Amino acid sequence: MSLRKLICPYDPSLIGDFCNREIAVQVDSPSLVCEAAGAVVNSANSLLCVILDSVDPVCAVSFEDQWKGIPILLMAPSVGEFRNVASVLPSLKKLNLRVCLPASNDNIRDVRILSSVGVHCSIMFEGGNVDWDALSDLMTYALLARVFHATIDPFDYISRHYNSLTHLNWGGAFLDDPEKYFHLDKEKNVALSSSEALAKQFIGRIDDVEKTESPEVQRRCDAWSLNFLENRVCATCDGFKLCMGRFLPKNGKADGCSAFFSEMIEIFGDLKAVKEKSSKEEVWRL
Amino acid sequence: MANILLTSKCTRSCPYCFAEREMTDSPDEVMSWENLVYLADFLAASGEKSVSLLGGEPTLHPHFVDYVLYLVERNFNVNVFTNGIMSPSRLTELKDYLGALSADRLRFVCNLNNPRQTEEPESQTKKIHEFLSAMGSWTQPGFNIYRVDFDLEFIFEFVQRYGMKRRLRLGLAHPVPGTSSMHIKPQEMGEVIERLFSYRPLLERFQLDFGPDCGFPICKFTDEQLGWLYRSGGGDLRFECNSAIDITPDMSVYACFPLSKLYRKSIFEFDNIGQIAEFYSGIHKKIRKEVPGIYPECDGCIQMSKGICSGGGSCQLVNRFTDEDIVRLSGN
Repeated sequence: MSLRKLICPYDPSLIGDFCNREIAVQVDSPSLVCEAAGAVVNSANSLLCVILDSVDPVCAVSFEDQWKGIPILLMAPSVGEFRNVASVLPSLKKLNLRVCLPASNDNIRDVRILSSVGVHCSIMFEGGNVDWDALSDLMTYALLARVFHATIDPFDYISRHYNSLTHLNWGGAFLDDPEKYFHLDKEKNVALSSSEALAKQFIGRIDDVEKTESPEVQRRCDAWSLNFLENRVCATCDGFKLCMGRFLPKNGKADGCSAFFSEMIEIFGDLKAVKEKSSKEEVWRL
Repeated sequence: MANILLTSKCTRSCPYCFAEREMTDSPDEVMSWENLVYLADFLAASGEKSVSLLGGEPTLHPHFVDYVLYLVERNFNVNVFTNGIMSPSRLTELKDYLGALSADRLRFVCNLNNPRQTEEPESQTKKIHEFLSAMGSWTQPGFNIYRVDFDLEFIFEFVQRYGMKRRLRLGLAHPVPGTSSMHIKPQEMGEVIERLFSYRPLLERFQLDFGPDCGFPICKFTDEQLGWLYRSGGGDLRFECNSAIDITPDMSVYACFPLSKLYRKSIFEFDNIGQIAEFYSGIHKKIRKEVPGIYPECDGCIQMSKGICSGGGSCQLVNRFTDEDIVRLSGN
């Protein structure tokens, strides 16, 4: 079993208990970013990133010059007015930082704005009230825009890992992939996603979970296959290869999600064709 | 240069407004963030370095300050065509958020009406003074000539008092084909130019140079006047019908307000500004095939054939057609 990367709350003693692990450390205050990064770097582990959970919008976060070089994932509820963002942009753009926002309509719009001015972003969408049309516009922008803009995850992540021959669990773009990440609390209890960690839905302590591959982990990793075993509507959807049934609508009908993921697959097909065409040798070479 | 129209609302009703019909007929819509980002990309991909924000009155847009800051962040130089009439809170926003921008990156062109000739409520005049008092050094005076006895004197006082940029944007009020908006007729051009040059001593004393906007025919200037214009304008002297591309909140495009009802397109039909300019250049050529210029002598004029003068604005030419002809030109 491969060693998972760990997402832990900031607790020096917890971090100190691990060795040779890649750790993403969570803090809820900007003042703790450097300290938390230092705690991981100075332990026997390596730093994946610092996750700064902010209750304030991006424009209200006080970005510090000392954060330079520290990989930071800023989880914020919203961006704030551009007039206020503009004043923090010079500091923000110097950092190794990605802004992660939930997929409300305002945030979908603001992610495009931030990306267009050079700030790397992620938009987190789950089932429920996703505006698939707005998200589809953002995806098209992320993948096909003609002018430079910063990356937008999960679209950038998917484009880098997409393989037309197999399915892709792109939850990794948000550190939500049980094959790669474990989310811990201070007592070393393991959750398989950030939302489950938040809801305290743990599958056991890390020592136990890692002793042998936990059946729960395996069940989660193979959850996509239930779509076929239970003959769900997603199993016959054109977008399944990317969606893997994670947006199964409650009414059993695939609405916007199907068109969204099918379009994305189509775009990747087009991009691949363009790439192959452009990489063909036009003149013979030795 | 592209003009982005942020809103169709305006706080003024100038007697010569050549945008009035377009603004009245437009849906009550404002430029959205999504469209603005699209346009910034579109213009950047077209190699544009500057962008103008117009309306209606662009400062009425609820996100006006944000949009200016955004476009500056996208490395555009931003020109704002305003009447200077805005609420105290909007003016405070301008001071607070745009006051740090360099005057090279942001420029206002404030369209001024002479209060003695164009009736305006005193409250509006007061607001213009407040705007210039706050943003004068970012602002270039603009004046539209819609009557032959126009009076420019008040502008010198404004420039002096508020430290405005010393270049006057002088426009001709253009006819809107099919309407009766006040404008300068071809036969009045000579008189207008004479009156304009009667201000030469004042222009020199206040070191205020001016560039004639589109529609002035070169043949109505004397060689001496042309020489003076050339010198004072730093050699930038054109007598073309420069059809700037206007982009509306609903992403329609057309080439200048007076012609907004003819050959209106969607920006999504084009890949870049060059294509749009080429399309409308073709339309203008088509118009000029019907009527070469505003005077009979434009036909065969050497200045026209050299491309130095366009023989007045296309809007003047279209205005000479009958209503039936306009329908024919619109391609409907």
